Amino acid sequence: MRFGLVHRIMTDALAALGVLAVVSTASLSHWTNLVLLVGLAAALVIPESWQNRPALRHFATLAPLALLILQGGRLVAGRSPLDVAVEFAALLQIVRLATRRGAAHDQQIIVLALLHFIAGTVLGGGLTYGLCFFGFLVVAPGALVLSHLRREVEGNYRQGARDRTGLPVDVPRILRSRRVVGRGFLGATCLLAVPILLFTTALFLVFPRIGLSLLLLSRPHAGRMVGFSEHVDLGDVGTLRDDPTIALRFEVADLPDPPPARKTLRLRGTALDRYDGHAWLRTQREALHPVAKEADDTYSLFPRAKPPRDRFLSIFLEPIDPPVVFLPPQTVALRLRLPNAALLGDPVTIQRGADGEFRYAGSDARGLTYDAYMARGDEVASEPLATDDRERYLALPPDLPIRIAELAHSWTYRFATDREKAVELERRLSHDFAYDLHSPSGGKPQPLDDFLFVSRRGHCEFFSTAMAVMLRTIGIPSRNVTGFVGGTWNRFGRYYAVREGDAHSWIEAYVEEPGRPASWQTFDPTPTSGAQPMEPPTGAYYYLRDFVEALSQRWNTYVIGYDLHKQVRLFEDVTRRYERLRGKSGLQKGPFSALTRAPVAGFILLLLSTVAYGLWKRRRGAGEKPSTDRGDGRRNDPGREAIIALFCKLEAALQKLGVTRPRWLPPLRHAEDLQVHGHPLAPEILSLTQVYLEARFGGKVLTEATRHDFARRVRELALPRRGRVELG
Amino acid sequence: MRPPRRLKFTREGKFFVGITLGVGFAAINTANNLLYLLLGLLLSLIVVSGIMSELSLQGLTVVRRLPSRAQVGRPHLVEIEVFNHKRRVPSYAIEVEDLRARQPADKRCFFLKISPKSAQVAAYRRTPLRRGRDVHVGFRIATRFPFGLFEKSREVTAPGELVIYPAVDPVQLPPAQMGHVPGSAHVVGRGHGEDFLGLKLMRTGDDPRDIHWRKSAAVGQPVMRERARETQPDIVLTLDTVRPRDPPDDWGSNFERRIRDVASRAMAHLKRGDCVAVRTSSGAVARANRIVGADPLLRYLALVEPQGPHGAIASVPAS
Repeated sequence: MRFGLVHRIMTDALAALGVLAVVSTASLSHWTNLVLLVGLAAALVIPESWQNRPALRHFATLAPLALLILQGGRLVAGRSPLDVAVEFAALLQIVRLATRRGAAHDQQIIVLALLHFIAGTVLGGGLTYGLCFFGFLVVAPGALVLSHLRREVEGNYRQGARDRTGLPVDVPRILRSRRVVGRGFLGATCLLAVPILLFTTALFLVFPRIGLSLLLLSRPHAGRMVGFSEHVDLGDVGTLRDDPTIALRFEVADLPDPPPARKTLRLRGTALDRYDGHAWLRTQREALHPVAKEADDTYSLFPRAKPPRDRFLSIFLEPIDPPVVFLPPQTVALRLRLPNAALLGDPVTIQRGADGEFRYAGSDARGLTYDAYMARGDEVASEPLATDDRERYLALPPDLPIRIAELAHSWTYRFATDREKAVELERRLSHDFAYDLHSPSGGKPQPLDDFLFVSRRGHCEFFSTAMAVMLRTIGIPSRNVTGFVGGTWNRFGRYYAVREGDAHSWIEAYVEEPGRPASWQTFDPTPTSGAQPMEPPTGAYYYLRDFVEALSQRWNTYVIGYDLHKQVRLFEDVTRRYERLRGKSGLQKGPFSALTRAPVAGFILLLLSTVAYGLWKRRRGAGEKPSTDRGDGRRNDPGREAIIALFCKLEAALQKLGVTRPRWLPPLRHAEDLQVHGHPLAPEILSLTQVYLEARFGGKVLTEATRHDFARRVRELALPRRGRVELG
Repeated sequence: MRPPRRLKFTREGKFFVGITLGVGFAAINTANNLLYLLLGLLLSLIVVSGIMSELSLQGLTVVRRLPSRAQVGRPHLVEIEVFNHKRRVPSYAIEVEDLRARQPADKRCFFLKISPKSAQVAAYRRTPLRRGRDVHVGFRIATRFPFGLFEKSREVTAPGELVIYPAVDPVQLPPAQMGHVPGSAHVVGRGHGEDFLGLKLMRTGDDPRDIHWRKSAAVGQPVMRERARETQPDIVLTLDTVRPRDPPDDWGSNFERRIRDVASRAMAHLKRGDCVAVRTSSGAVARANRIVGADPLLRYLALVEPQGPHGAIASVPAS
């Protein structure tokens, strides 16, 4: 493989990985990402022969200056310094890739690639960043080595180094050479990734995690979720139905085997209390009160003596805006599973809002992991309705058509209790109306009226709005609730994935039941087809998607989320396993019990490794002892000594013949020159020279017979001859 | 004992270590696990660099080949051969500096790749500026392999010596005198001179004009006269090597100039076929002729040192 070509490929790969790492963080705008990717592709395909073109050389000079001015202007205009710096570094990389000439530029490319990876850590590294990092780990050793060799070649040989003939070395010939870089070399440099990965992993696991937060560089992610804000328009929620982006994951204990592919579970987010005829609003926006934290990061959401610990759900919430905590029905407490808090940062807290909403806040609030503990079926888990709030939940829009109230009355007048009335409304709506994601009533002047009396079809917002309004018309307090419904099973991660397309809307009605106090109870009037999680698709693409999502979740949990708690748990786990092993092998008792304790064993292992290494080095040095430098650096090799002595005799004979070899001319070259000039003894001299070279450098063993034959032929060479030709 | 290694940061190495420290500080500060990953990568590159550079430096022996003669002002090549004794591992980017006594190391040979169980030869050109003994003390073998972050080197002892002859200028001499000067000739062997050396049997190719007819008749075979080579007297060149008690400031440079002049004239005479003798004011004599060559004389002139006013007679160095 040509040295120059392999070097170029590896450097290109390194640069591409760096740019991809930055792009994959999704922190830059789409247009910026597009420009970077197109520019990268263009820079990679530019042939090396174009590097010397004047246009490209001018571009190499002017483009960085232009970029600097442009980014400086954007910084002054108010763009984030981090974004400006990252974009500048990425664009500079592309310019350098397109215009590089020489080893110095290649080294700049490598440095820029490293800076991109550093930037990626700040911008947020998902699974794609992890894959790029792994690629960097594999490619970097080879690229660094080749870059260094190229730099040495250009630096040494261009400064006047000479070959054995004293002539200047041809640098382009070396770059075209196939002898410097072979398969073995490439394989060895790629295999360097293994010890590098092991060492990186060891350091990653062992280094203590203490976050001083003296200079926060991280940027929290936020994705706007339509429908989970204080203002929801009828017709907006439905468009999320096709969005496969994962919003949260949850794990359920004691699942049957095989687990169900879908799980219909309502995860409550926010509630809205006022309907103005077209949209739902929240009237109590500022009412956020912190929830007191108990031991073990547990928050009791409703007053009770001891929250149950046997029924719980583990939820892994992706960062969304607003930072709402999604809870399953009957949640009475939750326990946060927080990463190690930064020493100087704000801790994560839970806040209670109006309408039964819970939010989280804190300086490191990028997503949340928590366990939601649920009350048993017969327990009540909701706040009581204050008299002052009752009017809020009964308010109706002033221009509500009268026939809506009449319809509600006609459906429910036969039922005595509020709960029966609510159940009947729910049944009627779910059976008599059709689910339609593209609701035709969305743009109408009275969308609810159109839904109930004209189209009779719509998405979940229409059903929940209809039921909430109808309940209010018959005097039952109700509110519209938005959240997610259920999830689809991921066989690789063993969790249920809830996607943005699973966003859903239902209602809560404050109803009484015989023998139980009034409480907020959940009703979902949406027909079954619309009140379920997205249908789990099948096929190779979705199989791969599940695998990638599970890998991404593992990456986030065990790499991004590796904290001091996990570290301590890991060491405890290792120690526990070791102790179990000691117990099984009986080493916990007896004379070796002290020696086999974990710290002692570790120390002894380290000591033994050091001693073994020292002995090995010493043995290697002793093995090489006979070959110490004797002043001229020669080795005591009898065969080598013999052939050198024979060659000296040959040289003496050549001198007598008048064809002395100049000191600067290698023996083989001298013999070939004699051949070219037609010296009568040239064939014999060439043959003897080849014997010498094979014995000295080629590893061929010099037998006694060869030795005698060589000496005889040299003696015959030295005999006087007639018609001797001397070289001028 | 293996010679110790020396480690030096290159410019790129300083930047690399700076970046590593920066990433480390950022990692500790932010507890960002990705920064810990990067830190681990950077540190492991440093460790791998140390191991590979050690592998590259191990198992190398260096041999120096000096030219048979060198002269002031004339470039000569010094060959450096590096042999890699390792069985499977090549050595990359090896730099060998030839160390000379009391002089800074300025000559390096670079070897891009030395395959296992093989040698590579490189040469450097040097133009000596002063005559005398050029003492080589050893080599400094260095490498910046694999990443160019650090330079690791070791020194080995490898003494060597090269005598630098004085510079020689072209000198125009008057034409040589023919004929024999009695009292100062040296018979040096057979030739075509006028002197009679002896008789010998005629062989094929001998000049028939030299047949001794009377002896040939007596012997019954052609007998030839053997003649002696025409001889010429030694050309004696004198050289004042005694330093006066209070020498002027330029005495040293003048001394060197005189040596150069003597050497130039000696070479001119030798080329003309004369026998030359250089006699110093301390009594030492060095001789040269066409058969022996100029080496003994030039060597003597290379090594001659000025002596004090009462210095002992210097012996002629062995040719």
